[in-house]
Amino acid sequence: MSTAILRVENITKYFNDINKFKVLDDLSLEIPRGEFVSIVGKSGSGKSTLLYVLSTMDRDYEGTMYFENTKLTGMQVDELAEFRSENIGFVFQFHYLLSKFSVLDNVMMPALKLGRYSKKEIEQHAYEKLQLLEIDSLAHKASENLSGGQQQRVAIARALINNPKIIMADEPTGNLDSANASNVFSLFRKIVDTQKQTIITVTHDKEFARMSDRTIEMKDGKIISEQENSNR
Amino acid sequence: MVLELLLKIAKTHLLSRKKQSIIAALGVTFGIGMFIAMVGLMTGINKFLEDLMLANTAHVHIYSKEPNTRQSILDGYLSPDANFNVVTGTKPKAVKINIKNGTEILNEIKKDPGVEGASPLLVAQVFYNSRSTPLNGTISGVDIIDFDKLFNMQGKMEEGAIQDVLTVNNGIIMGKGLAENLNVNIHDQVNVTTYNGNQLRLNIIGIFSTGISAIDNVVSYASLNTAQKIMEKNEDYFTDINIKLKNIKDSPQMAKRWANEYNYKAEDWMQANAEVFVGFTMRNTITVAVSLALLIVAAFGIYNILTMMIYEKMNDIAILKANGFKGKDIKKIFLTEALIIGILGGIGGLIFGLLIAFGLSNIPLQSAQLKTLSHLPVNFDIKYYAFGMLFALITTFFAGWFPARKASKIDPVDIIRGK
Repeated sequence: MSTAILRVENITKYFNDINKFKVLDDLSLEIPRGEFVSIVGKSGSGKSTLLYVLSTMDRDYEGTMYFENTKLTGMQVDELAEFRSENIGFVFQFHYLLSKFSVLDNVMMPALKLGRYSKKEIEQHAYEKLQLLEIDSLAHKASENLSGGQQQRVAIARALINNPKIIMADEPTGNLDSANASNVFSLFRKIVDTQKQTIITVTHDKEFARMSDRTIEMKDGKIISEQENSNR
Repeated sequence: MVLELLLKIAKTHLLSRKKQSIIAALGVTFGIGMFIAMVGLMTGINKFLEDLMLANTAHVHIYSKEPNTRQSILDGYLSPDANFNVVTGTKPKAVKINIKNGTEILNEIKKDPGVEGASPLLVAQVFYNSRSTPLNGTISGVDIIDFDKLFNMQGKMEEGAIQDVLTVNNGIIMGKGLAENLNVNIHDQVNVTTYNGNQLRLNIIGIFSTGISAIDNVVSYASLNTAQKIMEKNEDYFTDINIKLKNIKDSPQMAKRWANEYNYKAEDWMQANAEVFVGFTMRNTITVAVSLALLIVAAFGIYNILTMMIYEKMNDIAILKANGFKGKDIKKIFLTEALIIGILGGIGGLIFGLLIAFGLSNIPLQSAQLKTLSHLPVNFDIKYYAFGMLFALITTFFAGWFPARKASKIDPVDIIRGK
C-alpha cells in the first residue's frame, strides 16, 4: 500500500474553447500524506486545472484518480459532493465567502451540511478554527465588511471546519499584499505541522513555495521538476 | 439541520435584494388579484342571472308539443318524389294544446318523492281595458299554493296576500309595471277582453314585482279556475305543468323520464335558458383566458427575476458546491426562494383581489330592466381564493424550477474558470 493520500495516473485534459487545446498532458502524480505540497508554474502551465481535477470539482479528464485506495474517477456529481464534504477543504483565489452571511455562518456552513455534529458542537469547532487563525474577534461581522486578508483567513477556517484530510488552495495569496501572503503561508505551515493534514496549494510565487515541503513545477501541462524543501 | 441551513440561505438571498424580491412578489399579487376580482365579478354575474332565471323558471316544464307541419293530402296519395305536387296555403291542423289527463298527471308528479312542488299553468291572452287604448297582456292561471313553492310568490308581493286569489271571486295579482301603466291599485277593478271577445271584470287583490320588466309589465296571476273561466274551458284544461325538484341537479333526468312517460315535451331549466348558458360559457372562457394571461405574465416575471438572481449568486453556488452541497440542495434553495415569493405574492394577491372585488361590489347600477340589481353582483366564494392561491404556488414553483435546475447543474469549475 502506498503512502500517497491522493494519486493520479496518466491525466490528460483538453480545453475545447475555440481550438482543442491540451492543458494536462499524460500527467502522473502522487501526493504524500501529511505534506505541504505547492504547485508552481507560469500562467497557462495547467497548475490550476490540475488542482481542480484533484479537487474532484472537474470531472472532464482522461486518466484515473485515487483517494487513498478509492477510485474517484467515474463517480457521480452528488457522490463527489459528498466526498468533498468529508475529505476536502477548498480555498479559492477570488471566490471567498457568502457575502451576506456572518463570518461564523460562513465557517459553520460546510459542517452544517455534513451534519456530523450538532449545531452547538459545530459552533464550538468554528470558534476553535477562528482562534487558530486569530480572527475569533470577527465572528459576528458580516463577511463583506472584512478586508481581503481577513476574508482569506475566514475562507481557510471554513476549509478546515470538517477536519478534511486534504486542504486545497488555488492561489490563496493571489490578491493579497506580501505581508498577508506571508501570513497565509505561515498558517499553512502551522496547520500541517500541528494538525497533520495534507495541503496542496497552487502559487506563482516561488518565494512562498519554498515554505512548503515539496514544490512541483509545471510547464505546458507536464511536471518538469519535483523537489523537496527542508522545512521540517 | 441542512434544511434549516438551506432556508437561511434562501432567506438571506431574498432579503439582500429586497426591491427585486418585492417586485417579483408584486407580479404574482397583480396576477392573482386580477384573477380573483375577475372571477368574482364574472361568476357573480352568472350566479345573479342563474338565480334570476331560477326565480322565474321551473326546474322542469312540461307542455304540449307544437302541432307539426301538416303533410298535404295530395302528398299522401302521390309520392312527392315521383310527382310534382304543388299545394299552397295548407293550414295547420287545429290541435288542442292542453295536457290531456292533466289532473291525473299532475297528481302523479306531485307524489314523486323527488318533487318539491308542481303547479299547473294556463295562460290567457287578454286586453286590459282600463285606459283609452287597450293594453296587451296575459293572465296566468296557477295553483297559487304550489306556485308559491316554485317561485316564492309571497316574497315578490308588494301588496296583498296570495291566498286571496283562492277566496276572492275573479281575483288577480297584477305585475307592478302593468298596474302603473293602467293606473290602478290594489282593491281596484279592471276590465279585460279575452281573445274570443268576452268581457270580464277582475278584482286586483295584490301587486307583485319580480324586478324583470318583461314580466312585471305584462303578467297577472290568477287561480286556475279564473283563467279557465276567461278561456271558457273546463276544469281539467291547462297547457303546462311547472315542477320544482328537491335537487336541481336531477332536472335533466327527470325531464327525460317524464317526457317518455307522458309523451309531452319536458324541458329542464337549462334547456329553457340555453342562450343564457351560452353567455355563461363565453364569459367563463374570457375570464379563464384573461386570468391565465395575467398569471403567465406574472410567471415570466418571476422566471426572469429568479434567473437574474441565480446569475448574481453564481459565486455563492460555486462556493456551496465546492463545500459539498449537492445539486438538489442548490435546487431546494432556489425553489424555496420561488415559493416564498409565491406565498407572499399570493397572499398579497388574495387581499388585493378581495379589495378590488369589494370595490366592484359597491359600484351602483341603475337598470330599468333589472330592478333587483342595485350594485354589480360579485361572488366572494372562498373556492376561487383557494384556487388563486394554489395557482400562485404552482406558477411560481415552475417559474423557479427551471432556473433552479439550471443552477443545480452548473459545475463549480465552470463558474470559477469563467472569472
